[in-house]
Amino acid sequence: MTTAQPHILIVEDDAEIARGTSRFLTQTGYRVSVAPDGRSMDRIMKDMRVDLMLLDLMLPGEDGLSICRRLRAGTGIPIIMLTAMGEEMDRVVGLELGADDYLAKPFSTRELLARIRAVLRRRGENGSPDAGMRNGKLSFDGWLLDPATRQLHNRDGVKVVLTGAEFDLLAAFCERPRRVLTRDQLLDLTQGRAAGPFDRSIDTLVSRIRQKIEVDPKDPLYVQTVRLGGYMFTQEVKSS
Amino acid sequence: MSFSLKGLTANRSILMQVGALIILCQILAQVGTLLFMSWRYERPDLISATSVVTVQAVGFYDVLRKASPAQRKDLEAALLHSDLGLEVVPFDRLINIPKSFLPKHTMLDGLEKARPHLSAVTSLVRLGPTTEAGTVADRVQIALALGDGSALIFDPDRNNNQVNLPRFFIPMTVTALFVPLAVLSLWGARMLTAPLRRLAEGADRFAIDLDATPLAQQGPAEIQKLAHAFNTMKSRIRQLVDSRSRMLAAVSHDLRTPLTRLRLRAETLPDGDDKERMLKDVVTMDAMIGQTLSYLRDQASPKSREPVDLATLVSSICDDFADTGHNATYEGPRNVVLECEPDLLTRAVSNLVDNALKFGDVALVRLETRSASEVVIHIEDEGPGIPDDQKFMAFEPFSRGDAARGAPETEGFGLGLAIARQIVERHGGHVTLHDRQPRGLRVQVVLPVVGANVGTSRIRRSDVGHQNAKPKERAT
Repeated sequence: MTTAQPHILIVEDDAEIARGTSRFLTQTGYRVSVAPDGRSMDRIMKDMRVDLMLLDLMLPGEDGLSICRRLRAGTGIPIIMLTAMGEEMDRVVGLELGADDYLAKPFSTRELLARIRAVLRRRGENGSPDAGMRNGKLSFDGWLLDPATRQLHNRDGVKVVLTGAEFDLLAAFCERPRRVLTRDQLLDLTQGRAAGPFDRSIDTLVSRIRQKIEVDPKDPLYVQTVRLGGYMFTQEVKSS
Repeated sequence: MSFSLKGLTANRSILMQVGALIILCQILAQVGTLLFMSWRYERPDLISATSVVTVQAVGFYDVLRKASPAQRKDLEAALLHSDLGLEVVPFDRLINIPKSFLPKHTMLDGLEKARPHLSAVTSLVRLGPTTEAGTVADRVQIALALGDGSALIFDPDRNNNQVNLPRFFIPMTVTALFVPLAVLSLWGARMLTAPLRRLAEGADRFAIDLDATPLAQQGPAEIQKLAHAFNTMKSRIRQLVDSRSRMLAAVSHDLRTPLTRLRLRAETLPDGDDKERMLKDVVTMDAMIGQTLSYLRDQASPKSREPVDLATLVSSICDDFADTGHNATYEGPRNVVLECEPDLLTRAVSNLVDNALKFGDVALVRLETRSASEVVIHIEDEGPGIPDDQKFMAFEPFSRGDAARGAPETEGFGLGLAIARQIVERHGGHVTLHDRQPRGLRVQVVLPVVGANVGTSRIRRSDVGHQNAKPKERAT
């Protein structure tokens, strides 16, 4: 109990899925507890500090959404929702209720691990200051960026669609406005999700983002190139 | 104007049919009236006895008979200045005409029939010049003998039949009665059929959207009943769709739980062919469940549209495919605003791009704003295409047209195109398949622009194709 390994609580009513996931995460080096429903989850949380929770959506008794809402009201514990529905609405609802991420069943253990690592790093294993920023909406020059639902709206309220990597990069910019960020820094900030073999370079992503949000991508206003330095997001960002 | 009933019924519009019926009734009524009037014109005896002039004359006759000589003088003087057409004249100025000289059915007949006590004192007179052969001119007057060598004469036709009926009557009726009645009839028929028209429009809305507001139950009883039946039918269909969706969602959910177990179990196996194949099957089954779920859910889900930059939506799909190693490129404007359901439209376009990549290795996606009211997305591939006779079938859910295009049997249910079409049609658009020259298939998606203006800006060619993918930049 004295080890510094993060403690993960799996709330899942299917015994074999809980066992399989638990075994995998234990092998990876995490401490793992399992609760089949909301009540045993509460008992475990009373006794132990939990660093991250894997929460199934469909549970006997109190369902996952309700638990998520209850936990959000009380604690800041990171939550990854697991669901067999895999439908866009569930994802949005789950994230709006305060889940940090969302994983559709059947998930691969590799992806699960990547999400756990990303959430833990984002939340800051030592309690990073930008934990609060993450859930609030950000606005710049009339644009609105919502990290929870991963949506971006322009000044006219029109939804502008970004790919996952583009959104992560723009969010990283918005969380650190008016600072020169090197390509390495940006890579570190955006590689939370599982990095695939075809991941685009930061330059490509910046170019795409400019196409989508700048008035004139050739003469960018929001994301400017800093010679020999990297990029800088020039706008003032407000968090709400 | 032709009021051929046959021609109008062929139109199949109730409005026109009812209108025609009313107008036809009008014509019949007019003709009937006309016939009756002209018959009455032939039978003046039927009206003269009760005509105002006759009643007045008879009244005055009685008064004159009972008056004293002094009063009579005053009355006669008064008559002379009045406008009643009554006059007291000496008998010797009158010519008695035998009845046999008159046509049948004169007013005299009518008068004598109605006032038998006058028959002894009446006689026919003619004023004015005498014609040859003793025939009677057309102005026949009646004299009532006062018993003192004078008579009260009057013209029973004074207020009757002075108009030339055939010449005046028809144009008058047509303008004064027929035209307003025709207009009113058409308007009335329109009012009558309006609830039916509203019903038809409402039923049309149901066809597109099961969540449309129920039909208002107003108007005639039959229409109310029909509207009620429609509403009941709609809610029954809604329930059916809902319960089917719920059932399939539950089944899919229950399938995914063992699938998750299977996947976890497979991942603990030692690396090798079996493990790979098992994991691939899990992915395929999951995709099939996902496809089925979304096909059913897109049908049933309530609509929630918002303005979306379609250009970024489509280019993001291409970029996502390009980022996972596929040859997908986007060409088109940088911004095109469209009211739509972005998640659904993303799924539709993704399915089409996925198909293009699956069968044609390449997906060239072009977006164009054809007019202020229409945007078009073309998805082209360089595969074998689809023969004309199979193009229609390609959209059918669970059709196995895929096999003909050389896709492996295990790829899915073949719901990709069906889902895409369902979503596009939900947006009021349509999907068509075309041959691409020199080879390949071009899928064309036409979407109507509702609400938001189409805002476009400069054309861009996707800067990230498969070919020019740069190696990942990472500090070394």
